[in-house]
Amino acid sequence: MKAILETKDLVKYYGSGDNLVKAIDHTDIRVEPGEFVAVVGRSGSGKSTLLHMLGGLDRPDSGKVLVEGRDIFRLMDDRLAVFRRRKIGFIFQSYNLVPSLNVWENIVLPIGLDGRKVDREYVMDIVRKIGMSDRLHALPGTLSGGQQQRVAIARALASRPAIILADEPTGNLDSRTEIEVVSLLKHCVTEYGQTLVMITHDETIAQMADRMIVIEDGKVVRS
Amino acid sequence: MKTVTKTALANARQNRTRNMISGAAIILTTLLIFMVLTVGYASVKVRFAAVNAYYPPYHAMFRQVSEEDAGKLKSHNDMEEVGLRSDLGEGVDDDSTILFLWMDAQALELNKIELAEGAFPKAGNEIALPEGLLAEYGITAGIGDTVTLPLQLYEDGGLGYQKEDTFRISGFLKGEIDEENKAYSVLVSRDCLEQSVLAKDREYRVMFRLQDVGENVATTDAIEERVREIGADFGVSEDNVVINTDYLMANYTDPAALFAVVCIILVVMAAGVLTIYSIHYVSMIPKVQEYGKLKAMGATRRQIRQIVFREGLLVTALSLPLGLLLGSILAGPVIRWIYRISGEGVQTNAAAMEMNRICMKLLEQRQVPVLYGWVYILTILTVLVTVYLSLVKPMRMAAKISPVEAMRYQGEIREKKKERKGFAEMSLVKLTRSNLSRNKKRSVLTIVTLGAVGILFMAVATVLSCADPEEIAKQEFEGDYEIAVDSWEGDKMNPDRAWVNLMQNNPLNGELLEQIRAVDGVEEVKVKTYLTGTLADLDPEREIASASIQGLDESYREIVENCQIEGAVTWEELGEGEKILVSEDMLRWFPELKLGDAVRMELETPEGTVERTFEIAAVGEYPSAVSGSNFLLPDSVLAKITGADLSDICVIRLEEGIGQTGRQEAYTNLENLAKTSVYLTTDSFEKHVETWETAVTVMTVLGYAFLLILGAVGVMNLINTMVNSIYTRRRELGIIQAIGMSEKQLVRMLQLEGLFYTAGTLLVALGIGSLAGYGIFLYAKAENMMNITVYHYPGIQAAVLAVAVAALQMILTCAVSRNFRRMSLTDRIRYGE
Repeated sequence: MKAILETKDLVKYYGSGDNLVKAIDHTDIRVEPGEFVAVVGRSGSGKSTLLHMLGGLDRPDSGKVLVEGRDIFRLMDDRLAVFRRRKIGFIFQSYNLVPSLNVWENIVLPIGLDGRKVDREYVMDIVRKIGMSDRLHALPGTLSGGQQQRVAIARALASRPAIILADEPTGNLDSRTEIEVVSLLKHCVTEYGQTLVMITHDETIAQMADRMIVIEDGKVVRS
Repeated sequence: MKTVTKTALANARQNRTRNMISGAAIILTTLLIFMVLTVGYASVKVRFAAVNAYYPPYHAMFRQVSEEDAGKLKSHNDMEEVGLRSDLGEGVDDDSTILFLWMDAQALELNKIELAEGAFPKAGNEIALPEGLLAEYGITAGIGDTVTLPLQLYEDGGLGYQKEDTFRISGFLKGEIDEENKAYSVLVSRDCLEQSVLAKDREYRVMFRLQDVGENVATTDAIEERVREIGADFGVSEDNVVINTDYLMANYTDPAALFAVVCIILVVMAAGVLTIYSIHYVSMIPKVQEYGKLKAMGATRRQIRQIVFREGLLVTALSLPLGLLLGSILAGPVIRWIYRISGEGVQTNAAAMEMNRICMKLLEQRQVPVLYGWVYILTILTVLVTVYLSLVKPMRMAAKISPVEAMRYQGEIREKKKERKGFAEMSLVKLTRSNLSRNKKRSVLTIVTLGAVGILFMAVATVLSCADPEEIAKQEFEGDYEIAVDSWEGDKMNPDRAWVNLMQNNPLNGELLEQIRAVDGVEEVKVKTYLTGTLADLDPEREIASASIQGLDESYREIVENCQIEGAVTWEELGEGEKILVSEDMLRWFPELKLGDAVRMELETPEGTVERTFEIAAVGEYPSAVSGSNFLLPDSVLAKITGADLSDICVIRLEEGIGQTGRQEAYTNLENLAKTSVYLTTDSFEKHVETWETAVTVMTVLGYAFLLILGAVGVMNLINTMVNSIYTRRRELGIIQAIGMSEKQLVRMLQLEGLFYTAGTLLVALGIGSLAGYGIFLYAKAENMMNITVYHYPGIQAAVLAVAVAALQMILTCAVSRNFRRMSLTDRIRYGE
């Protein structure tokens, strides 16, 4: 089967001399379509940098990131932004909703930025799944952490990206909500046939994934 | 307290961008305050110095003083310096006059009489005279040569028989000669005076400076009072006391000018306070968390306040000297420039031109200092007060932050609203709209502070655009050219100038008028008549106003009937000779005056004083082009009062399309006609336009330069708002970019936000500014400021303002967003985590 997401000899260093940090050190990973992969590692092991590279947020020093076989860094910045909003959905640790927009507006923002029409039924379907259909007009400030993260998940799913990249999406949540949110996420990607790459340092969460990639000092030690 | 200062220092370093912007605002504010004070004070100083150099520096003069009293005055205790002058007689030729006079050394000094060559006359028949006099008489002679000049001695208040005397030239006098009137002064020796006039007949003019002026005797009024007291002691009549007003005025400060300077400084301070406050307020938001942490660690409210204040003070300490330095460098060139430009405009007025030349010279030779210590001190104090005032609110805000709230604070203002209706579909524009509505208070504050400068700009622009030199000139001058009888009242030295004398042998007679009409290019000639006298009940001493009446012909019917602002009277009713139209000015001088009042006048005619009583039928507001008199009547009414020729002003209108050469020729011909009598003066529309053009140019340039700097203070505010609105949101913007906003869309969104500020600022500036401008116009019109009467909307200025603000906004957005984009996307996302 052809990989949906692949890195080839990816390198990213920060600083120089004694301060040199090898955030990603000649890393090769491969993710199949529909997979749920957990990326595990200690704090400072380079997980977040890897995720940023996968999503095209940052450019590597060398190496390639292939999405559906295409080298994304050969795209110009603006083309990359368009590519990103069509193919990839991001979920961050601190939910990062736009405070001046209500729940619905936050969810449909990526679609609007892409200049596309909102498929109301599809988005409402997601909203119902995350259990927020009665809070569509609420502003983020009035929501709990779990609720906010669910909105962030909905936002990532709404533009029907092929890949969801989640950077410790449950880091700020209590353990009960944590399981709930990840289950929801997993359920959604399965239902919509999406691929999920999630960073976590929580063993329990990692166990819910199809596969685990362990990173240490920028290198894949187990996958 | 040391920790507090250290923390403030660290904060100052950390908020570098904000502090640089607020520092720039402080520099500009300092510069403005300093320049206003310096230019204001130095130009007053320069004028004073020039007056001292130009006008004779005596405080007052007594005339017709006997030799005995003159001697006593010389040794009077209150006198600092006393000079004596005695006039012997005159030498009258066809068209020139020589005045023979003697002066002592002090008088020569007090009158600034200097030699071009040779020495002052010492003995015998020595004289010192201006070289121009020899040219007039067609004599070539040098120092030591003898000349013969006509001389009539003064005898019994008149001139004696004409004789010729021979004099030896001891020196030539320096100075301007009155070419037009061809009057020359010749200095003679003491011997000559003593031989020509008997001691008991000698009359002196005693010129003097008082002791202690500036200490015990401070004001002009006090000097006058002291002078009159001394005069009374020596039996000098009131008429013979002459106060050197020009000199005194120039040396003692006018409180009105001071008031204007204070007003301007208050405006600058207000702009400074608003801007610096806004800069601190806007950048307070990202710092809330920091102050919260400090509080959590145990800082007291007072300490937090001190941290904010000291940080502000630190920025001031660095930027204030820079502002002063900049001001010190610019002050000299700016003042010299003002005098150079004004110099170009007064070329029609000899005295003003000379004054200007002296001012320029004094400035260029640096004889008058431009920079003053107290200006520096006052500027520093004013700026410190400005900074303090602008920090009061931010200090209080920082101190009020609760630690718990601050730690949770994520950079956004807490929403009071729980819900938002929102849009079904999102777009860039909708995103921008929601963003701007989030920080309503900040958006409004920025727009208001930016707009405030714009309002000021529009107000000043309105005044300047209403001050159209041609229109102002039209308000004070009728037609193209004017020949008028040059009369004035109450001059004991020149009783021939009194109107009642001139009207008996009026130079502006029918014959002259015929000649004027015959001049090529003259289209229309109108004559205004004039009669004056005393307001017998209102002001019998003529202290405030006289019963001056302008007589107008039928062609002024419409003007007279339309100028009435109170009451109503027709031309025919006025023609009956019982009712009169009074100028609005009179109501200001005599507030008790009202419609229907009877005004009793004692009018001076060759037949003696004629008493007349008129009923005030209307109050008129008419420009000085129509008349400068206090009352208006049809000329037929005046003609019935006396048979004398009352023609006062001849208004001449030239044919339209006459062309420049034709115009100049007509002017020359008319001027030659007027030259036939010394009692006639001429004036032209162009002269008035020219004078006003210069005045308006100087005002315009200064006005806009002032606004430009003030505008720059406002721009600091704009930069700060832009920088802050982007940097405090860098994480949020990064996230939005991560979920799909392209760089192009980001720049467009920032531009849209900028556009909102631009539109808001312009709305405030042009909307309120135009209204304010109109208000100021109405005020200026009511107060007769600069003769403004017609409203002109400053369209070009408004357009320039709009384009400038928009362009500035665009440039700023591009610069800030380019700078912002240098930060990598991942850094932006990580920020704050």
